[in-house]
Amino acid sequence: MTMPEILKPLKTWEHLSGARRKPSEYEIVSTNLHYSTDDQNSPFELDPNFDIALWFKKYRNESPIKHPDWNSFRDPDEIVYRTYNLIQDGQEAYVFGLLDQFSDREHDKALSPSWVALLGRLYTPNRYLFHSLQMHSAYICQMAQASTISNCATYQTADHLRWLTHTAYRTAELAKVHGAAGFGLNEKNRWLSDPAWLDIRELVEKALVAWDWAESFVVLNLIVKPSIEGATIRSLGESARRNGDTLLGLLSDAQLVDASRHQKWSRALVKKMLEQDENREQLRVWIRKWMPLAKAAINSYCQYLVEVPDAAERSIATVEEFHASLGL
Amino acid sequence: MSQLPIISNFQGDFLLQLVLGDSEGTINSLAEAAAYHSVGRRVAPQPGKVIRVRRQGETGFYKPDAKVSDTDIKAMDCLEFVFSDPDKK
Amino acid sequence: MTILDRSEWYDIARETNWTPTFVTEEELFPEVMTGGLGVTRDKWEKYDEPYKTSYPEYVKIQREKDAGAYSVKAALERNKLFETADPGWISILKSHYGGLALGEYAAMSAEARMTRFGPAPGMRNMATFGMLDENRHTQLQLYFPHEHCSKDRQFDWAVKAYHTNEWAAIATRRMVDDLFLGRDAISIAIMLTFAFETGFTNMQFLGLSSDAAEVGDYTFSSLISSIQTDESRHAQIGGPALEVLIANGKKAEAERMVYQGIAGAWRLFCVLTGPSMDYNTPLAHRKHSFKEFMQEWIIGQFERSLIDLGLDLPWYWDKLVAEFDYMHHAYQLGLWYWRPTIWWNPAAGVTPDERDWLEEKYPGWNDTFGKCWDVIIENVVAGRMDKTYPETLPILCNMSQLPICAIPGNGWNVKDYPLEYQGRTYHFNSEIDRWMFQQSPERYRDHMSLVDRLLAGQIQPPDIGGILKYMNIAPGECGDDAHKYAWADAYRVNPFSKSAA
Repeated sequence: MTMPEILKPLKTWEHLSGARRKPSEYEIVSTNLHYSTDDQNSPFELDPNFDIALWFKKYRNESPIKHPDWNSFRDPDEIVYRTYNLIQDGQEAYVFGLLDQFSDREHDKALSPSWVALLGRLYTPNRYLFHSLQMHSAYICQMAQASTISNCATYQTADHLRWLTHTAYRTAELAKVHGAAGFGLNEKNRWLSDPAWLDIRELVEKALVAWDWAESFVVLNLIVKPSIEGATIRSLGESARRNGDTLLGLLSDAQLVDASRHQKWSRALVKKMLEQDENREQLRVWIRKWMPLAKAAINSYCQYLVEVPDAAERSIATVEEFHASLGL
Repeated sequence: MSQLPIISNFQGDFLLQLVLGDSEGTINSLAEAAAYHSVGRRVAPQPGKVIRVRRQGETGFYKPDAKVSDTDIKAMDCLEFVFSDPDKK
Repeated sequence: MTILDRSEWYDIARETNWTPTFVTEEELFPEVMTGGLGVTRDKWEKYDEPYKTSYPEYVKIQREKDAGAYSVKAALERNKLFETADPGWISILKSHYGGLALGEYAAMSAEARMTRFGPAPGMRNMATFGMLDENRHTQLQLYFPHEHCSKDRQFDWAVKAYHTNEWAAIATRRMVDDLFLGRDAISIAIMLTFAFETGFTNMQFLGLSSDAAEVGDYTFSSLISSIQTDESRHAQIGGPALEVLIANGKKAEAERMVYQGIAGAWRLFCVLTGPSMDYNTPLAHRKHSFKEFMQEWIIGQFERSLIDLGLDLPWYWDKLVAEFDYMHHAYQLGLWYWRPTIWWNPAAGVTPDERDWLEEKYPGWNDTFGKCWDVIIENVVAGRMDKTYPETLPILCNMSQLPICAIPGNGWNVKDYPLEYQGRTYHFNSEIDRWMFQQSPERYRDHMSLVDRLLAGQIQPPDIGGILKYMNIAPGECGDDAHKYAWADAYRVNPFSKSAA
């Protein structure tokens, strides 16, 4: 046996040491952290074919979307845990400052009865929707091919809990002032049977069980989120401003800051996927498959936003423009 | 020579080890192969003693000069290697 | 100021279950990923997480915690560590980071499984914070060791270990995969958060944190005590899950999950934490033995939390408690003797003074483990170094993937616990390991230990060189004695007093 050379210390992790520049904090703490992708035949240090191993083999390893080096994906915002809390603590300070200020001014008392009724119908049931986005993002986190993708999904999961939290908070506030309107009581029924929500619910329920990890990403980040962000956040926010509900308008804008961050990493991941030209057609297939449901969801919801007559049209156009800008 | 992997549980040692024996050799040669990986490493030699071989859980030893392939020993059987006085059978 | 109290809206934020109509309940929460032993989802409405927090509180507190943790990491202190710390302590850091950093990341995936597939909204929300917590723990435990890369190649293993077939890495993956990464949401709640985190990470983090402070490594001490504050929050996901299972007639099944969780976690802590505390930590800084620590944390505290929930102690409890006396001593012998196959430099920890301490803490140590060390010491003193290195592999337990070992010397009780299953013979370290396999053989059946792989011809050439190559460990990163055998000087002065007794 010949003696192998003696390895010398490197300036960084071995897998980053080939790069010309010094790795960033983001790269040091975020890259190459999934080991269950190492052996495609056996994700875990267990039987290669027990039920959960089969799940990962089928829905992750055998996905039609292929790339030889998923670990090369980078979050364009290079968010790490530390900066995530810095950013969001600042954002929450802003939001809770708004809540405090508007509450002091007795904002809710000044809302018109018709707008209050609309809030109960079109705003507060959002918590079910936002929670489904939270659950769905967590699926992408656990199934993604690279830790740099999972991390984006982790922060996105938390962001949706944030949206859910804002909505729950406002629901409680509205219930205090408008006790008879059923805030905190009627949301589930609205979510389950109101025609404004039915198509949205169909979309998210079906999206939640699209198990292939890449399809799961496509349907959530390229279809569901841009659609509902256009309808139940942006358009509702516009409608709010036109009804004297400045607070909801500002809250919506605060959430859309998160949404635009989500779009940035989605764009980067699609770009990564399209480095393999064979992937383009499959991505288009999925978009064609899911867009009819998304359009129906947007149309059903937006028809009740009478002050924003072009809400549906603009929301759909925004989603389609997003796809076109991705080359899909 | 035909290699036969067995599990060595050597008296006084702290673990089971993989030992490659020769199925055409004797039980004694198997004991030597096992001793190589324990005695003088973590087990002190016991001059004047011999090493006898038995299957885990049994009291009777294999005959030292028996050919391994003539016994019931199969690959990856767990065998105990025990210091004994030479006169005791 | 008119900000609502959390209690005024908290419940609304966890009323988010609905019965789907466009897909079935079983599709939305498939048994394979949700688990739950057939307890229907409406029963989970009773789930009530004891520790409550909210998004705005979380990001605020965590921001402050991180400011603390990262500020302690002052450049001056970091550099001093390498000059002043005992090499045994440095070895603890290496084994800790390599063994834990990516395991924390796997725990993030497991928390994500509970966030997606957990049957109760409160569980899903708490697991969302759990995802963030585990993301934090991964990043902290990569950021801190990274700066040591340029001084010592072994620190590269903070990331590398889990990506190799190094044997301790295989054993670590086995535990992580079996207890959480490869489990359904309910099993994760019980095995990861209740058994593993409540039972064992408390010990790892509190114990090592106080040891670190003793040694003067305040960076590490504050790092892991900061991590522990997160753990003690999200570890509480499991308790109420157990309560729901018990209330719905699944006590026996819930207990079985707890027992599997404890047994799996114990093995790994035994091989990593046991030798760290009783051998690698410099004698002057040892405040308690591993056994004393286990007695306080596992018997004193964890046993009580089992009883509080109305759970019976595991059938194997006496056997496990008996292992506190010897198992980690056996693993220590294995780690040291097979040191070229691990990514840290184990301290022998057997100077005459250290042996006195071991004998005091573990009466009979000299007559058992000491007997093996006597032979090793004689070889080191005589310069017969070839006799201090292995030339074969230990037999690895088909459950833990760790060497099958026990008490040597005059207490010799090493034994194989075999099991014949569907035509294959499996080897186990104990009745507990064998029982683990029997609970769900389909999870383990076609897995091959390193020894199985060698015998199947997957490792070529089938010799020590080939094995090291298969493990992806090479000179420059593979372990050697932490103190370069300086500890043996005490025996050179007076070669005849080889035992401390």
